[in-house]
Amino acid sequence: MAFLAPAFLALAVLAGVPLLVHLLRRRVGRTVDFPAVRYLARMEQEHSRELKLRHRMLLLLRILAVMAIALAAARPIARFAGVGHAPIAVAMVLDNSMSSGAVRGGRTVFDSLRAEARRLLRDLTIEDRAWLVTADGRVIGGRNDAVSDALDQLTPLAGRGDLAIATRRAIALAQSGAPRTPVVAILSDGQANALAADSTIVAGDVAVVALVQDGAAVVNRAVLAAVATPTRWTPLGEVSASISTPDSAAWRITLNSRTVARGVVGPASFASPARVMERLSSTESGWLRGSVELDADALRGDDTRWFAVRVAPPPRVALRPESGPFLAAALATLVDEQRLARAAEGTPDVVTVASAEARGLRMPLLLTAPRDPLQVGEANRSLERLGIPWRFGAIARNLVLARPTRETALLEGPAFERTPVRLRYPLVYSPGARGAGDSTARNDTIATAGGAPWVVAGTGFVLVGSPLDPEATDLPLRAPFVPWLLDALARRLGQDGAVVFAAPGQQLATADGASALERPDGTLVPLTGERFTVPGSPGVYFFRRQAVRSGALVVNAEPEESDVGDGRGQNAAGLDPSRWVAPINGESVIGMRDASQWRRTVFEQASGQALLLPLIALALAALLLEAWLSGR
Amino acid sequence: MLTTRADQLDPAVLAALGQLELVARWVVDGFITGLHRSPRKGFSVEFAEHRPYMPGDDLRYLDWRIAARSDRWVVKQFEEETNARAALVLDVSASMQWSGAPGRLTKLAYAERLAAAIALLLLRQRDAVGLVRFDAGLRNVIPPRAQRGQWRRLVAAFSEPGGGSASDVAGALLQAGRIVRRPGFVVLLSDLLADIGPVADAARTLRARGHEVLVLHVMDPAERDFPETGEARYRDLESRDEVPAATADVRSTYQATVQEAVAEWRAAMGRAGARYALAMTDEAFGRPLRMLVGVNGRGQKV
Repeated sequence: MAFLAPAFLALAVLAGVPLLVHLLRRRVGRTVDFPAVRYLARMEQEHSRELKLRHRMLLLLRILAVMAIALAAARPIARFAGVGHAPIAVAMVLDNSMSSGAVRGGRTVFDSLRAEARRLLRDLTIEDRAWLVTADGRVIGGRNDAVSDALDQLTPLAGRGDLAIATRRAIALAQSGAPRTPVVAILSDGQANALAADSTIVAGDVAVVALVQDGAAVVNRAVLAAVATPTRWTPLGEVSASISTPDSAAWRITLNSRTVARGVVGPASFASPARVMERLSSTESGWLRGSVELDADALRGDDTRWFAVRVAPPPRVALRPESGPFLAAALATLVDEQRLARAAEGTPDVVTVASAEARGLRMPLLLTAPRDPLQVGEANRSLERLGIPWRFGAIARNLVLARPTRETALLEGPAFERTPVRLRYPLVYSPGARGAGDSTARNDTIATAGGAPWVVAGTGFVLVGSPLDPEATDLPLRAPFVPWLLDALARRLGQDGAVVFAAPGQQLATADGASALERPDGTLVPLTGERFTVPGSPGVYFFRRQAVRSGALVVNAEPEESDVGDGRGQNAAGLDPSRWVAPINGESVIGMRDASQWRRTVFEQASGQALLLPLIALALAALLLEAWLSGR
Repeated sequence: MLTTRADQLDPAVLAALGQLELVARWVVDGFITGLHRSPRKGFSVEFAEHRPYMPGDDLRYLDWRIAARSDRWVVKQFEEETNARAALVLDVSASMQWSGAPGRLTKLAYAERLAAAIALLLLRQRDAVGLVRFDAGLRNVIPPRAQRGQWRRLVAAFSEPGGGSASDVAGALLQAGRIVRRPGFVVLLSDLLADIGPVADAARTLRARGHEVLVLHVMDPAERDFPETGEARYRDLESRDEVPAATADVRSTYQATVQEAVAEWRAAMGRAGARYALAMTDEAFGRPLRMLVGVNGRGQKV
């Protein structure tokens, strides 16, 4: 037996009052003159057994009444099989991810899920507690009608959300409703990867009952990726896109809402999407919003994917001869392609590319490690003189593979992923008077080699921990090297600013110097604090540094959210419900397709009955019997 | 038109209207008025005649006036020397001086008014009435007289103190038997918070002497019903003994005990040849008076 309001059990101490009165009867202080005491004495003498029995009965009945009232106030729950449902703490997880916006049978999956959630709410009693947790982790609690009202306001997300986190949160909420029976009721469109999590969801003794909608596939065409390279178009650039479609699909590319390219791709699965690559040129300059679009289908959320480009003159660069032939060749190529322009060193905004030991350097700089180990000391003095908080460490000649950091993997990763490094000077963070902590060092690191920072960047500098020479590293020989070099010169050392890719609702660190976020409709959202939440609507947003656009935030749904079907019922959406809930580890985890069975199963987890009314009835019966026995 | 008879009024209301003497007169007047509606039996005045003196006659009965006036010697001859002789035995112990409710007469006040009414009723029919007031002992003993001043003496005796810590009912009854020399009747007004045995023996003795005995058991309704007074220690007014009790818990048992006690009194008095009646202090004086009439000095039924 459990209690909803156990504090009221303290009232049970009042049961001692009748007992106390009974025991203290002989010490009652009040004296009443009564001439017929002779009869009282005779009564006690002649009816002592009857009186004792009556007294004990009355005592027991009074104690019973008080105990029953105290128990009733504590609102106990007894779980007896097959008798109604005991109070339940149900946390509903409503999968309102983008895929739930797919239209099946004339209505969206989300609408049908919401209707089932509403039916479940209607079956709850006043003793129950309910929460609603959406795929983006939002929690709605309170009275049943408040939750029901909140349901009406919900719409499918523009992104994937995280159903695993939502489920974990729901489990915690259900547990908080103790001693009610905790139940997590999941309503999902049945997308196979909905619960994909890096670890198992532990439900413990919380029952999880999932309504997994029929995975009948829908015809969905999706733009899975859209990337503009390089970030700075001069004015030439390239847009590449990945498209999955069960049949041939027409696509188009727009720049600032103007269609600049179109075409058709043949059938391609989600696993092997069709690639589209278009070289484009823009007549407009500045930051542009671009999109790759498909015709509307059952799931509208992934028919458009956004990208951002900046159209501007090429960055200017000055090259010191000691940088080596490979760096010189890469820069020459970019200059030939008009991605870069040469300029005299010392001119404002000109990036100098040099070896770190060179003298007379001025920011901005792209520096490599000295070829001659004897020059390392000079190089470190040069770094100190320039105010760069990094130093070259002791030379390391073992072969290691470089790795991009998590922060740089998306944009700069290809250049560094598994790049062999044979000679390197592990970079050591040495903030000196600047006093920055390790977190700054971690954020400045672009790639590591042998577990130590290898390529780092900061305000006005990019520093490579090896000479860019094939004897030291294969980096200058790799194809992604040249695009990375251009990105480093244009974005990290130039004025292009960052292009940040994010999913709706994601939490991001605020870009340096950004004071506001410009929405697609031109309105501004002030950015205060170190982090901000990515807007829920897909599109291209621009970071503003006062009146100047200093970067772009490209918001698109996660590509995997488009994996809802291929029109032939062959995709993972057709998973068996028991497989769908497999990532959830608990004593009672059940998946099913039938909605009415789902509701029934949810309440079966709390089979039993609240004992409030029986206890009140017991108290009343005891009081009535007491009144009858005492002749009242 | 309806007339209100004092013997049928609430005793407390009646007592509030006048002194004991006045109340007794109202009650008796109302009572007699009620009797006139009934066939009158047993209340005729005694008949007397003269007969010639014969040797051996008691000279006390010689009518000296006739002898002086007509020089004839005659003696007064009576059916009875006088009418009935009665003794009222009134319990004035502490337990009688208690009332179970503020607006109600104490048992003693009720009994005094009832005794005064009985006395007046008897005196009006020229019966001799005496009074014995008692508690632990005898407080007042007024021998029966039928004289005019007897009523005043009786009323004066009612105002004398009482309140003793016991009730010697049997002693008082026997004393009453002694002051009623010829067979008459004895009316006991008491709450009977005493042992039955001695009282029954005394009643039996009186009956053996030819007295009619009427026992009016005066009881306050609260003594019968034991109304809600909560958890308390109940103290005897005379013995000062205390018994703790919770009214609610024991009321029904108490009531049964009182009923048993009353039944025992009734049975014991019946066995002793005495008449027994319960007189509740909230009921009109008429009912106990009718009990009296039913056993008047001649044993005639009303």
